Amino acid sequence: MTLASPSGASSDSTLDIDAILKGEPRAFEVLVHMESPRLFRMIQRIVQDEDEARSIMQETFLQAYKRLATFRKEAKFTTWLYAIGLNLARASLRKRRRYDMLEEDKMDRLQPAFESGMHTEKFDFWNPQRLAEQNERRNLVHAAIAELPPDYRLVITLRDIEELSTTEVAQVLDITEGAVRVRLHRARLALRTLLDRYFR
Amino acid sequence: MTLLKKIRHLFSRSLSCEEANAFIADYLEGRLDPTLRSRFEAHLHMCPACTPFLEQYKQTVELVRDDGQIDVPAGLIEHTLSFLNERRIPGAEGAAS
Repeated sequence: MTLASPSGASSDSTLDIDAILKGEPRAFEVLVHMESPRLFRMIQRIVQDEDEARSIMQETFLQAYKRLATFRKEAKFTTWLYAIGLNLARASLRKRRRYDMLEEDKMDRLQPAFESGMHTEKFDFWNPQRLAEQNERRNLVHAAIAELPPDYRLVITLRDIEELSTTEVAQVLDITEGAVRVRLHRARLALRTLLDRYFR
Repeated sequence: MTLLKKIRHLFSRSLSCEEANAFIADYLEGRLDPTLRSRFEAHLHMCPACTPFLEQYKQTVELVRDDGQIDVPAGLIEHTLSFLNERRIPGAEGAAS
């Protein structure tokens, strides 16, 4: 019954962090090669615009290079890099006024309802045939994730898709591990509600 | 009822759906202590709503993990190295040329 815990597979162990910090050209190039795909995917999940995601990713590497001297080795180097990128992505959303605080109400509506501690709704197991329709399933899941407010999309992306550890997610988002767990749980519950209409 | 009895009562009674809901993620990650895990599973055995709900929650996490929908654009790395090269960032020079 236990889900395998994500591996936290960020790639500090294969990067020469000391060489990057010394400004060695080849080391920074390796960093760009290794981290561009993941960084792009994370940013794209937030801004949902390919050109903008590409632009923010490039700016992330530029900012990281300029700020190398500020890296304190308290977190993984990749965690520090992701934090720069995701802060730029969130700033971009705010600039476009797509960062709506009222979205917390939407999240509340997508949580399960209880009365006297008991579920108010009846639940059935999802239809295995619908779950097995792979192409459609992927589109539905992708669309459901895109419906979540940015902060919830972000925590789902980092923890469940990119498989960072809870500690790493907390460092990237600059929140406590408890807050990561609460936000992730709310995001999963909301996704379950959104997917229920397709898979029941 | 003494305080000790109240605490025993609290820990011995079965969980409500709402309480069980709060422990789902920790349960699936194996983070519940044995006592709480037993109470969680006892609730599952007797609750017709929470068993399918838990299964749906697990399937949601699995579906999300399978969602590899975002393709990285062609030339992403080369364009990034060119971008950095234009701004004279060492390391971008050789690869972008």
